[in-house]
Amino acid sequence: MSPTTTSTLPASMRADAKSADGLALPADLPALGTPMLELERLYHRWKGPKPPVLDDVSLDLHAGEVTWIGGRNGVGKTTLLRLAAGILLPQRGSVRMGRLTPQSRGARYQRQIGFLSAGDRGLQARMRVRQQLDYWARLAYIPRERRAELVADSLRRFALEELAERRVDRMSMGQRQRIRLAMAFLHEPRVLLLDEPRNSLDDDGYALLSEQIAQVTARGAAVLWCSPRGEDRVLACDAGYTLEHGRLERVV
Amino acid sequence: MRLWGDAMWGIVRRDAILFASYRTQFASQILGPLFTITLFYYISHLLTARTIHSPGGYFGFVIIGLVIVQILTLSLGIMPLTVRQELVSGTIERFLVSAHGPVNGIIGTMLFPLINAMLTGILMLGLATIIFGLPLAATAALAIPVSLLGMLAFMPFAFILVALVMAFKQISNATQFIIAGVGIIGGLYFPIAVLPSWIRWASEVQPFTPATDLLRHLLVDAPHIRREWICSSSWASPRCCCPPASCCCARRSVTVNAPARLPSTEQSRSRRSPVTSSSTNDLLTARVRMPQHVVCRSFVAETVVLNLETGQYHGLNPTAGRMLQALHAAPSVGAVAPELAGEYGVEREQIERDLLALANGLLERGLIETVDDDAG
Repeated sequence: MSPTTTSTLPASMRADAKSADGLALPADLPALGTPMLELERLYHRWKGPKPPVLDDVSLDLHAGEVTWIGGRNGVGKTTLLRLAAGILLPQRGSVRMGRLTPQSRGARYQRQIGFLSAGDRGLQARMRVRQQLDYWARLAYIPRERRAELVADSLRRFALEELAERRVDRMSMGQRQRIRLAMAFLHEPRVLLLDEPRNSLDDDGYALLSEQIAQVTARGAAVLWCSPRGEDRVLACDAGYTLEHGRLERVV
Repeated sequence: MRLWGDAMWGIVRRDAILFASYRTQFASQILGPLFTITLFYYISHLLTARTIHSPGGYFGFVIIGLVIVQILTLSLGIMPLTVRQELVSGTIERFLVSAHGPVNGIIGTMLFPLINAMLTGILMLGLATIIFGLPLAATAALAIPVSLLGMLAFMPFAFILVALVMAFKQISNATQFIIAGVGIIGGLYFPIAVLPSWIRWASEVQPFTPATDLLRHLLVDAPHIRREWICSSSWASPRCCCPPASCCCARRSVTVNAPARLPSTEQSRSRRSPVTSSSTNDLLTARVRMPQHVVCRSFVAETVVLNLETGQYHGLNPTAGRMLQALHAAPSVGAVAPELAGEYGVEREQIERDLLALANGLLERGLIETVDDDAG
C-alpha cells in the first residue's frame, strides 16, 4: 500500500490540522513517509527463570498499512501489543509515534491509539451500549460537540444501532466483541492495535471489521493485528510476521 | 480542562448508572445505619456521662460519630472495592489506554463514592432528626463544606488503599482496620478525654478529631474548643496532598501545631510558674485569658467552668463569675478593679485582694493562663 497523502486524511488526521482538543499537536506526529509507530529494540522478560518473551524486537507500522503478527499462545504477542499501547513500559528499547512516547506525552499518545485487548473484558456489564460508547468518548477526550456524532457513527459502523439501548450483560459474546471494536475505532485513532479481534465474531461481524479496517487504512491509519490463527493471514495485510523465541520473523 | 471535566463527569455518571442498576442497594445502604441509630438511641437512655457536652446528650454526641463512620465506610471502604472490581472486570484497562489516563481515572472513581457518602450522611441526620428528635443547630448547613474538606483530608488514605489494592489485589481488612482505628482515636463514639494520655497524641495528629469536633459544634451546637478557621486549615490543607506529604505534615502538626492548639499540662505549668511565684504586683499587671481547652457558661445562679483537659467542672458564684468575665476581656488583672469596685460599692484594695485570690485559684486549676504581651 502506498503512503497516504494528507489530502486523503480526515480533518483530525491531517498533519496540518489544528488540534481541536489541544492534544494532537501536528508537530508531535510522524512526518509523512516515516513510520506511524516505531517499536525499536524492545526487550521484555517476565519474572521467573523463563527466557525473555521479546528480545531485541523492532517493528515499524506505516500509515495506511495493516500488519499481522502470528505465533503460538504465550509467545509474547499480547506483551508486544501492550508495550505498543503504553500499558507496559519497555524494560529496554523504545516506543515512539513521531515525538510522542507513552512515557513523556501519555495523554497525547493515547489519543492516537485504539486498543482492543484479547478476550471479552473491559466492558461495564450493567451499562447500555450507547452509554458505554459515550463513556469511552469522554475518556478519550472527544470534544463535546463531536461526541454524539462519533458515538452514532460507531453504532452504525458496527451494526449496533438496534442494540444501542440494551445492557451489555444481556448480549452475546459476538455482540460484545462488536462493542469493544466500536470503542477501539470510535475516537479515530492513528494506530489501531487489535489483539485477536476476530474472537466470537460471526461472518457478518468479520465482514464489518474488515470493512472498517479498510476504511481507516484508506484514511491513513496504521493497523497492527495479532492472532495465533494462521487463517487470519488471509486478510489483506501489507506485512506479516510470526513471533517465536522472542524474535519476529517476516512471513509476508 | 473542559475535556478533563467531561471525562470526570463521565466516570461519575458511569458509577451512578451502575449504582442505580442494583435496585436494593440504596435501601440496604440506609436501613443498616437506621438500625444502628435506633440501637444507639436506646443505649443513650442508659448513659449519663459527665464528659459529654452535647445538647442532645450521648445520642447527640454519638450520632455525629455514626454519620462519620458511615461516610468513611462508603468512601474509604467502597473505593478499594470499586478499584478491585475494575481490576477483575478489566475495565481499568480503559483508563490505561485512554487520554484521561489511569491517575485521573482513579481519582474520578473516587468521586461518586464521596458524593454518595455525603448524601447518605445527610439522609441519616435527617432520619435522626425526624424520627428521634435530634436537636439540629442553626449552623447545620455549614457542616456540608466542612465535611467535604474532611473527606478531602482523608483522600490520601484512600489513595494508599487503592495503591495497596493495585499491588496486593485484596485489602478488605486494612479498610476495616483504618475505620475501627479512627473510631477509637477520632472521638467518634466517645470523647477523647476518656482515652489514656499516652494515646491522645494520636487523636491530635489525624484529621478526624478536629473535624468531628467542628461537625458536632455545627450540627448539634456542642461546645467547640478550637477556632474554626485555624482548625479547618490545619487538618484540611496539608493532608490533601499525596500520602508521603500527608505523613510529613502529620508529623509536623505534632511538633508545630500541638503546643499552640492545645497546651500540655507541663507547658501550662511552666508558663504560669513565674506568675504564681512572683509578687502580687506582677499578677496585677499581667493579662489573663481562658485557654482554648476551657469552656465557660454562665447561668443565673452560677458560672460553670469546664476544663476539657481534665474533664472537671468548676462552679463559680455570681461574683466570681462576673470577675472571670471581666478578667477575660481586660488588659490586666488590676485594670478591672476600679470598675468592679464601683459596681459592688467596696474599696478598690478589697477588690484587688479578691481578684488576686480568684486569679491564683483559677491559675492553679489551669482555668486561666497569663498572656505574654509580646506574643499577643
